[in-house]
Amino acid sequence: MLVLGLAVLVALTVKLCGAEPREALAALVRGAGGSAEAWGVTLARTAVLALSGLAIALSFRAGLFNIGAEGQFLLGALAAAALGTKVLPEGVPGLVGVPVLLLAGAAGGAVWSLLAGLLREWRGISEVISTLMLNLLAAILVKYLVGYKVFLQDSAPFSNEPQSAYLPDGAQLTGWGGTALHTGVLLIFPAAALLYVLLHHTRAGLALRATGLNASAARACGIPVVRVRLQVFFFAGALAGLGGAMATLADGRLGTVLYPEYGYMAIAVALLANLNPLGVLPAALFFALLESGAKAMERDAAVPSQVVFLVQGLVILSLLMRGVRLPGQRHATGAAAEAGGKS
Amino acid sequence: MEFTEEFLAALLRIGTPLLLAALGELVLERSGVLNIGIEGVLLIGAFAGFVAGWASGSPLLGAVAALLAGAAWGALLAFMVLRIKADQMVSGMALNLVAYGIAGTAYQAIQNQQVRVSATAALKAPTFGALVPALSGLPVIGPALFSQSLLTWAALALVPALWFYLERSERGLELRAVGEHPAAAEASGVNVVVCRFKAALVAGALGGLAGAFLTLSQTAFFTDRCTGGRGFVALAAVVLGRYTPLGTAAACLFFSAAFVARDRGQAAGWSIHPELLDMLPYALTLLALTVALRSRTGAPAALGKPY
Repeated sequence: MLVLGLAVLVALTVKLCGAEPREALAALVRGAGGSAEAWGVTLARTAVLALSGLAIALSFRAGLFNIGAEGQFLLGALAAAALGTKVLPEGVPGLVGVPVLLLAGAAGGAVWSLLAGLLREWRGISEVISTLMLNLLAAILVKYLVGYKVFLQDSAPFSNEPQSAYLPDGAQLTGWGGTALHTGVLLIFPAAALLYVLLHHTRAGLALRATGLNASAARACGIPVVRVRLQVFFFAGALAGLGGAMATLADGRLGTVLYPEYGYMAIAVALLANLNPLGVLPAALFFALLESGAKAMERDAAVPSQVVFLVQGLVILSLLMRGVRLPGQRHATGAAAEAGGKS
Repeated sequence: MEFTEEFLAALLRIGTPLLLAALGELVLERSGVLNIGIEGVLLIGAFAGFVAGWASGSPLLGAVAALLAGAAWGALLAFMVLRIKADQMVSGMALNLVAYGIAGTAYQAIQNQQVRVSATAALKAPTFGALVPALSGLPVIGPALFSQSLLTWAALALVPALWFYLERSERGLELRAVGEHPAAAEASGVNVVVCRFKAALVAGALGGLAGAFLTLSQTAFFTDRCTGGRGFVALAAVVLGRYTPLGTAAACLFFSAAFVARDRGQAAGWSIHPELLDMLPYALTLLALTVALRSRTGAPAALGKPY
């Protein structure tokens, strides 16, 4: 039903843009998974999207509306690119270069996220506003550092799509057999599994879920709510930053337009997964297929790629209409939420 | 002297969309609903205003279309929040994405069609002129006030009007009661859902106008994402203004000054990179909140909670 409605809507949009729906559909399928190359790109996208999706799911489960995955992703990419191009020696072995840069990316994202966490706990600034501002700031920062030859760019300043210098060979995630599919993609399986176990089978996970469901009750039970929240900010940022580093390593360098809006797409991913870490993987695959397909539709059938945002938004709205709720709201609605008080 | 004149004029001009959007958001938030989708409202308003203005040749018709489109967007949010009882933030975020999608694709579609008809690709809308051009020759207040367009005047007039409505009128009292304690308001005979629905319509309409200002006054063009985070800055202005009309207006002027300083700095060739200057408004927003917020924020008690 949902898929059918979306399909009709997209076909209509395509028609309005003056393209042929059948042609556009063919391009969509071809771009999403029509060949080994297309699958490679889609799966590499899935991995990056899944990491941001896990970050969002973790935050939402803890009752934090941390929508800063976009900025944390960019900071992770920036940290990896800076360290890779400026610090690592040219002949660094892959077993050292890749993990070091991935960790640097995670650290970059974690710091950016923790900033919002500290502002929330220390000053009472809603993480919604602070992460939105940090997202805008991160985008400008990347544009500045990459585009203006300040310390990352190697050639052609002031181009429309500036890119950083290439990372050393040993710090790149090269694809298998000429496709874009790389070893880093395997990382998302243990990441999702680990997060699932952490959430559902450990004390820390219980504390996290309790904080999300009802913070004042959790506090009354002796759970250090502030510490839990700051930890969630830290690890969510690290996951999103890891995604940014992975995207950079897979492309070999940092571009300003390579992964647009992944942090926002991740919100749709997390909700489609019903905030379950294991569900994030298929949800990420779905949106990655859509994104790859949309790129092909834009290239081959002249359909504006903004149509992806439309689909993402409508997916979220229809999920909400079918009763998908955030944890704090799931059990406490109406008068009960009223009595719950602010925390 | 000339510097002051230009600065004041720019302050009010750049501040207009912030003011319109933030005052609308203020009404909605005082009724207990938070609209993260405000960025999308602005974008829809900018797009609808641009298209209607471009097609009809009248900026006024464009503004009316933007107002209606914004109100419709407000009604959509109200439907999600009041009827479906969905999470306010997720609904707002989703509506943002839908707005990006609709405005982006529809503009592309119109442009494609236009390219086929005539060779010129750049669509241009008519813009509002000065409301009282005869008086714009006066020193200082001439350029600062009388060269401004109708929308700027409307935004300025809205500040005292909203203050009176919220703080002095009975209707305003009801609205505040709904935002503080909806169950109690309901018990005393106020229809919470209707009240919030009306607030969402007003906020949407004002947000739409704010967007229209960008495409029908500040520039004559629509570009993808031309709202550039202004809706989010307006959200911050409400928080910084402690949820009062006068405070919100002051916060809007403060953020407007940041945008003006950015543009001035670029024009004056300050030895700072323009990209770094771009950060100024957003960095100042964070900084201002950090410095200004204390434990008592003035936020309505039921803000963000479903009813």
